[in-house]
This record gives sequence, structure tokens and C-alpha cells, in this order.
Amino acid sequence: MKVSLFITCLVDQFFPQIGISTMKILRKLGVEVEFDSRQTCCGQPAFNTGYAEEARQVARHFLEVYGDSDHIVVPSGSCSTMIKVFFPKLFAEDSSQRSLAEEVGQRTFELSDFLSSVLGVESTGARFPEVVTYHDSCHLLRELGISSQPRQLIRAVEAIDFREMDHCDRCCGFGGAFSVKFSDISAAMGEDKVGWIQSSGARYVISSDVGCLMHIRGLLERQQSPVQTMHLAELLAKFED
Amino acid sequence: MIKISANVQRALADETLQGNLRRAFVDTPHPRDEAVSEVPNWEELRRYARDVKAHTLSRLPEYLQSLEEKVLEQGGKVIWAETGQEAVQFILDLSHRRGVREVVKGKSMLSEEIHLNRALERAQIKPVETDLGEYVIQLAGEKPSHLVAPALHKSRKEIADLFVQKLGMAPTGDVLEIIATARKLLRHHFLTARMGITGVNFAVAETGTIVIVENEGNVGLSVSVPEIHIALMGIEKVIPRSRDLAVFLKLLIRSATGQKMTSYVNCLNGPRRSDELDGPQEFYLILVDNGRSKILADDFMRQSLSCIRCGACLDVCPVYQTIGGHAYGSTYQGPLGAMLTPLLTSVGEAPEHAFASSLCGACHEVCPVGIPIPQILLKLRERFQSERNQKAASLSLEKLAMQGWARVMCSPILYARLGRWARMLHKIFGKSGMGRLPIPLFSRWMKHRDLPALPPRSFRELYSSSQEVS
Amino acid sequence: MLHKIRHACAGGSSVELPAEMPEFPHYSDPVEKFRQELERVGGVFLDGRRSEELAGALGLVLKESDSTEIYWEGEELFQRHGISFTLRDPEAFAKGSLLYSFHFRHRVQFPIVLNSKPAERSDLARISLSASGARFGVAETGTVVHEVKAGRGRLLSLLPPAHLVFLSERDLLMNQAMLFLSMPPGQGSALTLVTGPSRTSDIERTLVVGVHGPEKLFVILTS
Repeated sequence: MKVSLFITCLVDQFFPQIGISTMKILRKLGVEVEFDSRQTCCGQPAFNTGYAEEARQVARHFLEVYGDSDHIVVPSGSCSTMIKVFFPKLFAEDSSQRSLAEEVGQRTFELSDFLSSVLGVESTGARFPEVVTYHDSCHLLRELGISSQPRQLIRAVEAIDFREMDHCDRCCGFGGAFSVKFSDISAAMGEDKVGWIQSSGARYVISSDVGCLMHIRGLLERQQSPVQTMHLAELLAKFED
Repeated sequence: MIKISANVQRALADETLQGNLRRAFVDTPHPRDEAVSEVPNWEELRRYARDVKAHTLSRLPEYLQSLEEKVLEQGGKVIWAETGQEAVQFILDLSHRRGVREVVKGKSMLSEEIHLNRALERAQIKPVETDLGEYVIQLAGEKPSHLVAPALHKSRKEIADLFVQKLGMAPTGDVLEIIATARKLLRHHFLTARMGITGVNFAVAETGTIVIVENEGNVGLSVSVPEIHIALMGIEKVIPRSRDLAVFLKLLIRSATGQKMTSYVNCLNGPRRSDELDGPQEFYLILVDNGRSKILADDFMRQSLSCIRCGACLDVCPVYQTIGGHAYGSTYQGPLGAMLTPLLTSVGEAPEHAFASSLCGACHEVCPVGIPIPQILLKLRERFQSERNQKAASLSLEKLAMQGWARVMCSPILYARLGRWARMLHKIFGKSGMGRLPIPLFSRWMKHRDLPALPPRSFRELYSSSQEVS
Repeated sequence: MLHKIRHACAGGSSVELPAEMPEFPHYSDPVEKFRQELERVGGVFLDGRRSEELAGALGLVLKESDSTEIYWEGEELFQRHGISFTLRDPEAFAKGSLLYSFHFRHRVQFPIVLNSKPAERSDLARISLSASGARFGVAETGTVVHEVKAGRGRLLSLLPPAHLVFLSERDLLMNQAMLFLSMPPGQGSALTLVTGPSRTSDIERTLVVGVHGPEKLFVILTS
């Protein structure tokens, strides 16, 4: 099987190790992985703030790059949602682009969903002897309906102590542009989240979206909390090479 | 112009409010969850209701006409009010003609929307809110902070103190005492007021029946004791048939309070008949547009008019739970307020509402009529940006930045180069130095959190060098 | 204004009414379901289906509501529910009079002796217990339906602190859908679905029973 990675701009620029982990996991499972360096962003920053035309330009570029890919795997719930759910809406008045977007959307998978639903993987063979909790990112949970897949994969990690936090499905307050436009509300929501993470007793909070993790980590650091953030891909790649 | 941002600091710093919000929404599970989970065909009911609403809105003129005919047949009168001001004026004129000095009111968000109480007071007519929560709010001189529970932002102690101060109640922490005090005082108003004004939950086109849902019995009294009953309804409240009520009541009530049924559902067909023992002699139904037909004209935004005002979206919204209702600065609050306020007025009048959401989608998930609120907010953001950039003589800085950003994102070479430059800058200024750059994006982010450190190399750089190695 | 609305509607997509109503629940023992639901919301259910039980049930209602009088809705109530009565005043059933019976020490004897007096609002406001007949009951939610029509009013069931409703077993419907499908197009001016006593949760979302309407609601099921 051949997979085209969409690494997302944030992962590419800020957290390359998440991209490396994603690649590592897929290769271990015998998947042929390809990275097209023409890729950039899904267009969400523009879409999220009401700049539909700019978002469309970037989406068109994405569809050009990935038009022929068999499987597109994305280590982000939010960017997968952009491609799968919002691209077709962006092209509501352009039927040929819309049907291309729909097709590409069907071939696009968030990482945990791809591992569970397409490859049927139960465990990646990772080992991590720590207490962890999982934060549901909103788009992954509510737009794509993915909540059991990441949890199954986490539970299958050897020696892990997985504990659900209270309100695991409540928004952390990131929300893209919201985190800067309404920075104070965003931070207050995030502080609630951080509270629940801490009272779960976990040392690591796992999530599938870099945006949420950046926000949560920023708040944890200000509180000088010992709790660390970790992307799901990084956790699932904790196996011996 | 309404600015939410002007109210945020105050709301966040108000410890009593924060405690009340936390107690109401975070610490206790909402009764809705259980009430919904025990209905096996909830999704089917939602789809049915959504389709009935969509159908009704697509044929609104027919249904409103049918409603009017039926109400007239039953001896009621129908008033068409294009604006809030017209509705208010009708009520004032009628009050003057009938010599009404005091009005008992059932809870009506529409009356808040058209600022009826203020107008009545100016005309020396005393409006008395009879829903307990509204009564509390009126005593406090505030506005409702929640659709269903208007005084939710107040604690029992605050309410008790208010009653002691304003009504001379003996100090108590007992809710029963508070309620007994209100009941006694309001009973007097019920028996003396000559006009009752209420809202409407549903109006049935085929029968001309006005349906009002309540728990306290205050609506029942407001529509039964006074000589005149005025029902205020937004034009979107009409539904085609009686049988649809079974579905809508089930969805509304379970979503709003988690009850299976409220204590009372008042189904009203005009004024009292001559052979009935009591009831109002005059019944007026005021159909209010006040911006609704403007929303109706947009096929996509039209979905927002399906709202049945259950308040479930407020209850689950983390933004609402964090700042409360008043910070929205508008009659409607929470997700539905974020959606309806700019629609009923304009994106220029309420420029921040559509942006005051993390788009987490919890509202859409619980909405009993399936309104895609986050998508509507996104469309409103689009409308805001395009109106802003059409009006301005030159493009906004943000628009220029976005255009530049899009150009970069469409060019892999530019994108990669910019990434390298950013890493160089980062090396020079350091992590905290980036926040001191005059870029609001960074400074606003860094008010509460640090920026992540940029790695020495991007993924694409690592990838291409690993390809060279292997 | 209608013209404006018509104009706004014109461009939009047309949607058909859904063809079928969603299913509403059915129960093997609707009486039991009705009792459960009524009790869940704080109402009191009494079985008066056997005539010898009726006096006891009424006695209990009087005791629970701390009343020595019952104010009755009208002639139809007695006939529909098979309650025997005599009129102290032959004009008692005339329009505009209040019917009431005395029950010393909460005792009930048949036939019930009915007195009458002209209905004044101030009298209505002083009544401690009133009785009316339900047009329908709904098992799904423990609801009774009060119909206002000729010879009846709205206030008798709303003003007193305690209210008693007679519901005939044959008027007990399974669910809300059946209620709204079998409801006759309004003859009278009001129809009220009553489910338990008056209540509020407006203060800290704490449920408190008895606000503006009756604090106590009794339902006697008859056959």
C-alpha cells in the first residue's frame, strides 16, 4: 500500500518530530510512504477567519498536489476535517472542483483512523511506561466522529497507564484565530482544561492536533507544570527501531 | 455597535459570576443528557423537526396567512409588525385606549428583543415580569443572561439579598421562602392587571393555536386573568399542523430542561367564548418581522430561523460557560446569539459575535433541530470580511496579510524559504523576543502562553536530507 | 409586510413536509406508566376505578390538601365519572355559579351534596381545593389535558393551591402523538396540558414545587 503524507504546515515548521513519527509508524507497518514537497497548508487559517477566496486558492493548490494520491494520511484532526468536510463547501459553486474535493476527501484519513479503520492495526508495538490522558480535539471528535480509534491505540501501548480526564471532550479553547482574537477567553477555557488534565494524575496529555497541544503546552509552561504534551503519533512511535 | 471584547475582562474577573457559571454548567451534568439518551429515536425526531421547519420557512407566507385566518375565525386579532417599534407602538396605543396601567408578562425573549419594558415604563405603564427568573432580573435592573433560566448568573444568596433589599423579605437562605415571597406579591399583580403579554413557542397554522410552554403557572395566569392577552411572536414560530407539536414539544422540553414534559403547555385559541366562565375578552397576536425576512431571503442563513429557543447550545458552549450571557451585550447570547445577533442586525452592528466562538461544534451536536451553527458563524465571518473590505477605501492590513499568506502557501518555494527565514529570526531574537516583535498575532498569543521553540530544521528539510542519506 | 416575506421566500429552495411521523412509545400497561410518570413529577395517583374506592380516594385528597371543601367544575364531571350527587339548590348548575361540597373531618359520603354560590374572582382566589375532569390523559408523560369550553373556565384549576383531576380510563392515550392526532380542532378557547404540580428551577437550577399554579396535583382514575 502506498500513502501520501500530508504533514501540515504547523508540524512541518514547528514539530517536525511528529512528521518523523508518523512516517516511522507507517513504514513499520509495511506501508510505502511518500512525501511530496510541493505541499504547504490546507488553508484553514484563511477559512477560519472568513477569507474564503484565499482559502480556496490554497485548497486548489492542495488538490493539485494530492489529486492523484491513493491514500492521504494526516497527523491532524483539524486539517483532515478541512480537507474532508470544508473543501467541498468551499467549492459549493464550482462543481468540477467540488467533486474533485469530495473524491480527495474520501481518500484522506486522520492518522489514528487510518491505522484502525483502514489498516486494522490494534497496536503499533509502542512501549511507554507512563500515566497519560487523552484530549479530544473538537474537529476530530465532532466533525469526523473519531474518538474510539485513538483511545484503542493508546490503550494498546505496552506498560501505559491511560486515565480519562473529566470533560475530555470539552474544547481546550484553541480554536485557531479565536486563540488570538479572544485570547483571554481562549486562555480561560484552556486553564479549565489544564485543571482537568492535572487532576487526572497524568504526566502526559496526548492529542491528535498540534493546535490544541501548542495552546495547552503554552499554558502548562506558564504554570510551570510538570505535565508534558505529546502528539498521538509521537506516542505510537515509541518502539525500538 | 456591540463589542464583546469590551466585556470579557469584567466577566472573567467577576468571581461570583465565575462561581455561578461553574456551578451551573461545569460541576453538575446537565439533565438534558439523560433526557435525550432515553429516547431511542432522538435522531429521527431531530430530522423530522428540521425538515418541518425547513418546509415551513420555504412556504412561510402561506402558513402565516392560514394562521391569521384561523385566529380571526376564533375572534382574535392579528397585527403584522415589520419592526420592533411597530409592535411596541401597537401595545402602547392599545394600553392607552383601554386605560391599562399595569401589565403582567410571561417570559418572552422577543419582548426583550424589541425593548418593550423600557417603552412601557416610559409611557407610565408598569410591566411586571411574572416568571420567577425574570422577576429577579427585573428587580435587579438587569437583563436575562440565559434563554431558559434568565437569572442563572445569580446565586441563591444574591437573590435572597435582593429580595431583602427590594421587597423587605426577612433574611433567609431558603429557596422556598424566596419563592413564597414572590408568589404572594405576584398573585396580587395577577388579580389586578388588566393586560397580559406573553411570547409564543409555537403557532399552529391549521388551527390558529398559540402554544406556550412553562413550569410555574405564571403564563397560565397571565393569559387567563387579565381582560386582554397579547401574544408576541416572531414570524418563524409558525408550524403547519397540530401533530407536529408532539415532536417539537418533545425536542424542546427535553433539550431545555431535561424534563419529559413541563408542568404546563398552554394551547390557546383566541379570546374566551361567550359561554365560557373566564379568560380574556380580547386576544391579539402580533407577528413580528424585525429583521427576520432579511434572514429568510438567504437560503443558507435561513436555517438559523429554525431555532426553537431551547437554550441547549448555551448550556454546552464553553465560551458561554466562561463569560456568561451578559458579556455578549445582546438579547440573544451563546452560540445562538453569536449567530442571530449579526443576522437580525448586521455584521457591522455586531462585528465580533461570529468570531466569539472556538467553533468546537458542541452547539450543533445538541441542537434539537440540527442547525449547523459553526458553519453559519463561518459564513458570517466571510460576510464580515467581504463587507469590511468592500466598504473601506483600501484593503485592511489583515486582508493584505491574508493575500500574501495565500500567495506563499500556493508556492512551495516561497513557503520553504519563509520557513528558513523565520528560523533565522528566531535564532537571533530568541523565543521570548518573538513576542516583542510588533505583530499582534504573536503578542496576543504570548499574553497567556509561550510560543513553541522553532526547531533547527523543518520536516521537509529533515526528509530531503534523509532521502539523500538513504 | 407579507409581501416582503413572500419576496424573501421566493428565491429559496422548496422542501417537502416529511411524510411520516416518527414513532412514539407504546406501553403494555398504560395505567401503570401513567402512574409512574405522574408520581415522578410529584403528582399523586389514586385508583378510583372501583366505585367503593372512590370515597376513600376523595377522603385522602381532602386530607392531603388540608381542605374541608371541594369546589367542583360542573355537571358533566359527575356524569362522565359516575359520581352520584344531589343538588341543595336546583339552580346550582346555572351558568356563573360556583359548586362546592362540605366534607367535615375529610369524610366523603355519596351522593355528594352540592351547594352553590355566585362565582366571584375573590372567592376563587380563596379556594383551597378544586376538582375538574380531564379531556385526556397521556401515559407517556403522566399528563392530563384540561379543556376549556362552554360552562367551564381556566381559573378554577389554576388558582387553588391543590387541584384534583378525574381521568377516565378510556381517555388515557398512549403518547403525545396520539394526543395531538386525536385532539378535536379547538372548540373552546384553551386547552392545557398539565403534568404535575407547578414548579421552578430558576434559582440555582434547584427544583422547587409550587410557584404560581397548584402546589399539589391529584389524579383519580375512573372507569
